Amino acid sequence: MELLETSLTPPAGVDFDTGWSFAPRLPDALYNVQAALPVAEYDGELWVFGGADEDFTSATTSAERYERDVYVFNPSTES
Amino acid sequence: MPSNIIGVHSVTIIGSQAVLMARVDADFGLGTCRVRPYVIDLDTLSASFGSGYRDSPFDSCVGDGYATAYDGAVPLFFFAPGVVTVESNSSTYQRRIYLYDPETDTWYFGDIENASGNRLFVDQTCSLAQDGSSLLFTAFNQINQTFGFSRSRWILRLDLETLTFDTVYAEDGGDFGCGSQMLVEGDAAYFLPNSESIADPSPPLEIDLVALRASAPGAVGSVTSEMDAPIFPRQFFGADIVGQSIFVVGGSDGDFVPTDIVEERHLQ
Repeated sequence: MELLETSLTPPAGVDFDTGWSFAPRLPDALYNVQAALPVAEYDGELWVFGGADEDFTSATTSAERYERDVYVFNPSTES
Repeated sequence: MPSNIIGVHSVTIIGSQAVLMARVDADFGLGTCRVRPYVIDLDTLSASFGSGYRDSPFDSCVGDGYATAYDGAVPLFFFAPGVVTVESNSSTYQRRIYLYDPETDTWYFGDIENASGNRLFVDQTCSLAQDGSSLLFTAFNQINQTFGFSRSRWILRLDLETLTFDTVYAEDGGDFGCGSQMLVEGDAAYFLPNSESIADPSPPLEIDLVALRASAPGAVGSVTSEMDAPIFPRQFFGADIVGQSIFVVGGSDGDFVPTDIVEERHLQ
């Protein structure tokens, strides 16, 4: 995926976090997610299917790659 | 999931199965990668790969624009680059619809065009949702920004019976960014652009599906309005609706740090 040049500094006076409520963070195994995180609702839960590794092209052994775990988040029992 | 899955482009729940379009690393050699379906039984978490599409552009790592949705007749819809053209230092791709049936592990594809017979050439298609026999999907030309050209972004509707598309929403400038999400719930569609282009962020959009369904091809009126929701503060996220809330998951922020699960506001 070709990444765009971006500026991640919000305009003055703008707080992009305003208006959102935040739940717990995903595990660190999803570090370096650089593509869309596939998410789907199933049986009232959110299922999160891994991510993508930005450095995969330079990885030479499987140990350098990230695991693609499946995570389940139940919004009715977690806050 | 196996570690040779280096990216997951999309997921579609079909019954108790999750069908992922996974980008698979170079167990095929030469440093190339391919997109293959990966089917997970959500009850047992057993999983297996489906077949890659032979002679397809998926054999490359031109890895954007994949999205899926579910239809009872044809299980998956899968946009991908087709013929590549190069114009003025930017690359655009002819879009086809690719269909994968996990029951038979069979691929199909078809060309799409508008009422004038023009094929769809865009840089990226990054989100997609189904409303009956129509697909709503976004497209934009992003590469032009690198060279200072004007950019455009669209929401398009594809009639699955005729494979013709028309324009629901068009805006000059900016992009929607990969990781954007189109969600359909009842009589509304919710589109959450990511904040990739902070200097020109797109607000979340709502589409009146009742009005859209009543619109003849090529005669779509104003069916899109801004949602009363803030711009999502992360890039490359996923989202779905649980109950009456939109839940947004991910993605990376500026430093590509671990991700958040974020609950959005209740639907009206």
